[in-house]
This record gives sequence, structure tokens and C-alpha cells, in this order.
Amino acid sequence: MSSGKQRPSILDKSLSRGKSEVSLTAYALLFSEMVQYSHNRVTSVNELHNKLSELGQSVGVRMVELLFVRDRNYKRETKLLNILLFVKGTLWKSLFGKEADKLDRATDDERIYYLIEKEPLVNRFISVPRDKSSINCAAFIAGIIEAVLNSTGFPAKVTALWHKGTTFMIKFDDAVLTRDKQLEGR
Amino acid sequence: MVVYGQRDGIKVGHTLVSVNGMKVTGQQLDDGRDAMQVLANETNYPINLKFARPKLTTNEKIFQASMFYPLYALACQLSPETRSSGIETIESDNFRMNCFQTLTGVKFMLISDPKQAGIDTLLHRVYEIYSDFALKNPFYSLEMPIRCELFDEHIKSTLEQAERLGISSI
Repeated sequence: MSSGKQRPSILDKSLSRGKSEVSLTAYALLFSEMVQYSHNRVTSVNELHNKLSELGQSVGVRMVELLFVRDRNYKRETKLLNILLFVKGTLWKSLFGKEADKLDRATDDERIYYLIEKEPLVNRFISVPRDKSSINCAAFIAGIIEAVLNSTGFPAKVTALWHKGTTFMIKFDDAVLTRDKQLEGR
Repeated sequence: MVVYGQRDGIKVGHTLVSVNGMKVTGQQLDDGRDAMQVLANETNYPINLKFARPKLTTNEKIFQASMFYPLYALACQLSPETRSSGIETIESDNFRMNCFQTLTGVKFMLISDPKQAGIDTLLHRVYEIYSDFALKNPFYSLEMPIRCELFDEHIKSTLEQAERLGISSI
């Protein structure tokens, strides 16, 4: 059954970095199916956002490990502003090929930050029907951001809003703010 | 509806389509006023009127498509050559109907002027826009009328671009 010269099996070869590009069409069709799948199993807009967010969280958890190993040289981020810049820059670049448009801080509540993206890639081919105009499929990306923040030690809640395109409202827990202030105080 | 006496490019069969840029459906303007009243009222002059062939209603479009589909199938079978492509254009004095069938059997029909060239590129572009904004939209179910904003926007901008710069610019 075994021939004389066997080619090295795939388990013997070292891990390749892999192609970092995926066809946009293939991704759009997959995402459309994910939205339809979730849509058929929920009864309200909030539940749909939650389902999409959960799907995003599975992605976020894995992206964190990968990005910190490859791009941050195994070093953790400990400061709030740095992790936000990581999300805006490195995470966005590896997912979408460009940086997020803007990062703002809320004036009234210091736990809230806004990450603004005019045209999220996932929404490019989606036209929301008039009677369901509050659905924003960027809830998937909100899930990714939430998982990234939760696993790096900055517990937060992220929601996607229709504001200036799409705005991700990131609300950190109080513990995060107090810890950050203590770090800065030293 | 223009019944007799065509001149200045307004042909028999044309109806009033817009007054001062505002769309007219039947006898009524978009803001509820009656078209005949607006025309009769002299204080509204000078007034800008647009005439064109009346647009088909959705029902009429469905009739048209369902009539065309079996004709297309008949033509495929009756053709003396094997593997015929079916009806591609139907030409008359006033209009030409172009049809483009995709590999999956979806047909795109376009009604144009008989002398218009380059309809093929336009139909291919419409096919691209359909596959982008209708098929990738999770809220669109197959075989239903397409009610996607992005689809409509892109079709409009493609047609406007074709009008401004000629069809070869698509």
C-alpha cells in the first residue's frame, strides 16, 4: 500500500502564513447567509443584533491571539488608549485592509468611546428594507470588538449605531477606568 | 395622453410625465395638486412640462415578462441550429427589446430605441449590479421583485453615466 518514495505529509511541513486576502464576493455571500440564518431564528431586532454579535465574538477571540503573536511581538497592552488604538489600527487593518475612520471620546460620560466607520465592509452590499431600518449588520463587527476588549482585560460592551455611517459605541466597565487612572497616577 | 398631432419630439402615445420637475402620476402631481388645474392656472406660467412614453406598471411588467418567457423557450426549441441562444432582440419601428440570458437562466430585458448601440455592455453592467446588490443582500428573496436601495441607486447612476458620456463609458 505504501509506495517507495512518499511525499512529505502535510503534517511535516511548517505552518505557512497563508494568503491574507479572501475574495470579497465569497465573503459577502457567506456574510449574507449568516445574516439570513440569524434572521430566521429570532423575533426582534435586538435579538438579531445579539446573534450577530455572538458570531463576531468567536472571530474576535481568535483574532486577538493571532494579532498579538504576529504583530505585537507577544507584548500585552495595558493602557486604555493603547488598546483602543490597537483596535482602530492593527485589528481594522488585518480585517478590512484599512484603518477605522475616527475614534472619539464622549463628552458626558468618560467610560464611552465612539469608533466611527462611514461604510463598514460588511454592509457594502446590504440594503436594509424600509420596514426594518434599525437593523445594522455591523453588529457582527461590534461583536468582534467586544471579544477583543474582553479578552485583553478591558471588559466592555459594544453596540453598533446608525450615526455618521456606522458608529460603534464602546462602553467600558468602571473597574477599567479606575485601574487606568491608577496606572497613570504612578 | 397625446392622441393626435405630434410635433417637437412629442409623439402620439406620450403622456405628461413631469411639471416643473415634479413627477406626475395619472392626473395628479406628487404633492397632491391636479395637473389640469395647474395648467389652467395662468399664474403658474412659465411652466416646464415633460412628455414621455408612460412607464409600465408593475403588473404590466409581470405580464410582459411572463409572455416573453414561453416565447423565448419556443424560439430555443424551434431554431434550426442546435444550441440556439433564444430571442436576443425584438425590433419594431418605435422600439427594440433586448434580452440577455445568463448562465443560470435569469433573463434581463431592456427596451430601448431601435438605433441605440452598445446595449450589450449595458446589460452586462446590469447583470453585475444585480449579482452585487441583489444576490448579496440578505433581505432579498429570490424570484421576488427587487426592492433594494443600493440596487436602484447603482442602476440610476449607471444610466445617468451612459446618458452623459455615452454607453462606451460603462
